[in-house]
Amino acid sequence: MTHVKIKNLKKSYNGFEVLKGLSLEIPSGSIVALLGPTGAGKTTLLKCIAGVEQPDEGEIYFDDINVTYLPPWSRDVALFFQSYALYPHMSVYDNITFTLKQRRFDVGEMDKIVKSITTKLKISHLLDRKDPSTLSGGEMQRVALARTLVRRPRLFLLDEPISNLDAKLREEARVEFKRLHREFKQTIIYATPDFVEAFAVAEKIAVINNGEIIQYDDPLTLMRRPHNKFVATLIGSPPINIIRGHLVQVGNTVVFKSSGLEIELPQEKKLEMVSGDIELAFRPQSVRINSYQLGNTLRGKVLAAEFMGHQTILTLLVGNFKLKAVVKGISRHAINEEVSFSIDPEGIILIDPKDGRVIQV
Amino acid sequence: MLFLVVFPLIWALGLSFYSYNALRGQPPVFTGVENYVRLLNSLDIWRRFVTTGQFVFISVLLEFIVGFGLAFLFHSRFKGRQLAITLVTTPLLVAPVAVGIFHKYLFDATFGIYTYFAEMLTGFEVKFLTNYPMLSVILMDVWQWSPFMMLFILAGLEAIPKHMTETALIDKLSITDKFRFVIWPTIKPIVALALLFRTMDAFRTFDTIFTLTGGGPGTSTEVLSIAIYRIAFQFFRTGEAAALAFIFLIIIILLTNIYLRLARREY
Amino acid sequence: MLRNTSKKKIVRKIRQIAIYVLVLAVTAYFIFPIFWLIATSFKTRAQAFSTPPLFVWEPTLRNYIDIFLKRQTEIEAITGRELELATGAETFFFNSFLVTSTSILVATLIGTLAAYSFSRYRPTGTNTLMFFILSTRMLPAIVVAIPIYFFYRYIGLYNTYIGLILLYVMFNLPFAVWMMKSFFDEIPKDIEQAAFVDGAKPFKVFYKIALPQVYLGLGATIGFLIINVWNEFLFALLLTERATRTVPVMIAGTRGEVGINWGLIAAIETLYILPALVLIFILQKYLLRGMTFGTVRGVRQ
Repeated sequence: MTHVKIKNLKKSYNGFEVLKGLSLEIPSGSIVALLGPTGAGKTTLLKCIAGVEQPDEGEIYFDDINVTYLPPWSRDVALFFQSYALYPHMSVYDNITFTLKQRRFDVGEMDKIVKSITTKLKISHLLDRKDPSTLSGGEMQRVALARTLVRRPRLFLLDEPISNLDAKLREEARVEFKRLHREFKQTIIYATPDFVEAFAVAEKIAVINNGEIIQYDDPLTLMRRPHNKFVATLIGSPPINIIRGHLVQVGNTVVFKSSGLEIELPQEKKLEMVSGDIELAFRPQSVRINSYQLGNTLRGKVLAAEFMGHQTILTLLVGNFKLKAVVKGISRHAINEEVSFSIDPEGIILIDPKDGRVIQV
Repeated sequence: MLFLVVFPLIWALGLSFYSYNALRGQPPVFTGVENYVRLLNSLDIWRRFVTTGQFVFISVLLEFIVGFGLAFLFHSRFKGRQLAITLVTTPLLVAPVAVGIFHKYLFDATFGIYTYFAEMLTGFEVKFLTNYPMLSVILMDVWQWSPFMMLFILAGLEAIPKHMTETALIDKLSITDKFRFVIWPTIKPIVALALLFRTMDAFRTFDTIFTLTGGGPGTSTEVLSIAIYRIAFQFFRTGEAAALAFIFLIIIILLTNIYLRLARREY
Repeated sequence: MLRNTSKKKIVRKIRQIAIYVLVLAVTAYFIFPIFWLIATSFKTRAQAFSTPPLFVWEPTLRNYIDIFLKRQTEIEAITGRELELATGAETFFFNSFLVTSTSILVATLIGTLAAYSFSRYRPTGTNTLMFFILSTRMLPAIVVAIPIYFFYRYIGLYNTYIGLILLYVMFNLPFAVWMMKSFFDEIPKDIEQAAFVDGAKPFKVFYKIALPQVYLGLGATIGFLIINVWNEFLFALLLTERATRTVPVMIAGTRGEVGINWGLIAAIETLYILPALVLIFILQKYLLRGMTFGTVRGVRQ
């Protein structure tokens, strides 16, 4: 139950700047996801918070106490390593209980805790294994998880903790994390490159790329109001559609023109005229098939339809662009059929192609 | 950690001590570079260099060949392999002094069993130590140190990742191709290291030759290390000995640097 | 179809036999001198001096006894009895044991600790130090032997245990550090970091986490060091007198004697090899594996 504040963290490895002045504040007792691609700096950030890496510049505060120079064994955090970092010369049981032994838990208590955790993670049959390297990837991950969750530290740091588990186990693990959070008001920082996971688990998400925090918001805001192209394309499945074109002022309205199509931009939005190239983006979910709106109707040819069970993803050829649209249930449109559709004005996002900044929503 | 700084210092102290000597001689007389000049102009000393060079080159070469063959032989699996490897590496355990002295017996013109075998095989009278001193010395060195090369190369062979040999099998590579493309590149660094170590050690050989021939007969097997020893402790020309030692050192460092540079270029 | 496989089988059989033959031949070659050594140790002076060399003879234990006791036939002129006086050879063996075990212990201890520091904390100049260490192997012992001889006499370390041990530690420490460092480098950092987060302090991490993972390398290093010190000759020769003399010097002392008693020499040498053999047998497993990792990786630096 710790409030974590990170101020202007900078860290370089061998001349390569991994963290570039990163600042972040995580409220006490919340689950925050660190979302970003590989190499974004997630692991480095977590390691700095845990204390096993020292930042070159900046400070870290736990509950307003400066812990930047506090050694990791005094910080009372638990860190799940992306590489699992199991002790190769110890048995599974010893691996899990090592941290408890450091804090002088007595044997009976340790046993109880280990039993309950390993049963939940379905690895209790592996406790006696002497050599962790003989376990499968998924088993190793669960052992590492057990080792992390076996204590009640003030802060949990999880670095891609469930990437190697099958879908079902992943679900269960996510549920367990949320329960941990709810029941014990644990502060959890959860790093993952998978936005679905981040959305499922976290209350707030910090999108990180190239050592900087791009946006820090709750999932809905991130989806609806991304700050830039990176966030917009990172989130959403199927990914957001982007068309390049330019704006033209036609009388009172601003029209987006691109090869083969024209979209009238909604008046209420009070969009300003921007010269030069511009990118228009909208999510597949914002496409309304067979709905006609003045000035905003497009025609496209169905190229492909993927039935996902509860929805269908259509690939449409519109002008020169291939766009994706999502339709509920089964689509009754055949391949090569021409359809009309319009775009929900609420879902239109304009992006400045030069720096990826979102201009208007 | 501090110790690690102090000890080399003491050692460097010892080293600096002797450049002290090289310049002063004993009793301390400042002779400047006269020692060096005298040495470098002496034909005798140059002959020692040649002797040392011969010894090192031939020995290491033979050890390399034998070690290589042994490594391949022991790379295959057969019953008793562990035991055989242990037995073959025993020469390394014997004190070089002991090796030297005992080879004196083995090579003895009258009672030596090697002499016996040699005479049986060739029908001639073979006097190892008097007529073939260099050969004897080299044979002795090869006997003791080939297992060293073998160990290194074997370790390298064992370390070749399985998937490479499996690919070679699938691709039906011929033996020569397999060697050229799969085996050699992988073990090259180890072979290089083994050669480096063995060569450096070969230059420093003292115990074995000292006890087997003492540098003789005459000075036919007087390797540099023995030469330095004699100059220092038999003729008591310590300054000169120190100078020679220094020259020796420089040569080795030069050679090693050249070697390393050549090896680095591969990378 | 059947013909093909049976032909292959024959080829394989031949190959197997060939290998066995070669292995036998090769092993025989390398073992022979040692075998002959042990055999000679059981021969009397006369038997050792026979031509052609004896392959079958009546063995005797006399030589082994003679190492430690010497028959003096002249002394008791009155009674004409043969007396056996101690030669003091036990001292030499004892010295060897003492010096070797102590210097190895110290060198390994300090070396491992230092290697760990160098591996984990990389103080500036680590790379140059490593190269420096490598270059120490290049030094012919004789080069430093001369100044050290004088130095030791001057300082009073001549003919002392401390002096000899100190020397051996000094010379083997760099190698121990070099080897152990390459083994420590092998351990992924994450594992130690996990231990830190788990609440273990650095020293605990060192001996509970790092050390157990390098025990193979430790065995290999100790093996190498022991071979180096146990058999060392030059410095033992220069820096000791009777009190602290080690066995290699004693062996060399038999060199110039006229009418050498080969049986006796063989006995001394056999006795001296024994501990080394035993030790290597124990450490066998470590040595081969340790070399694989240590040297292979060490080169990749």
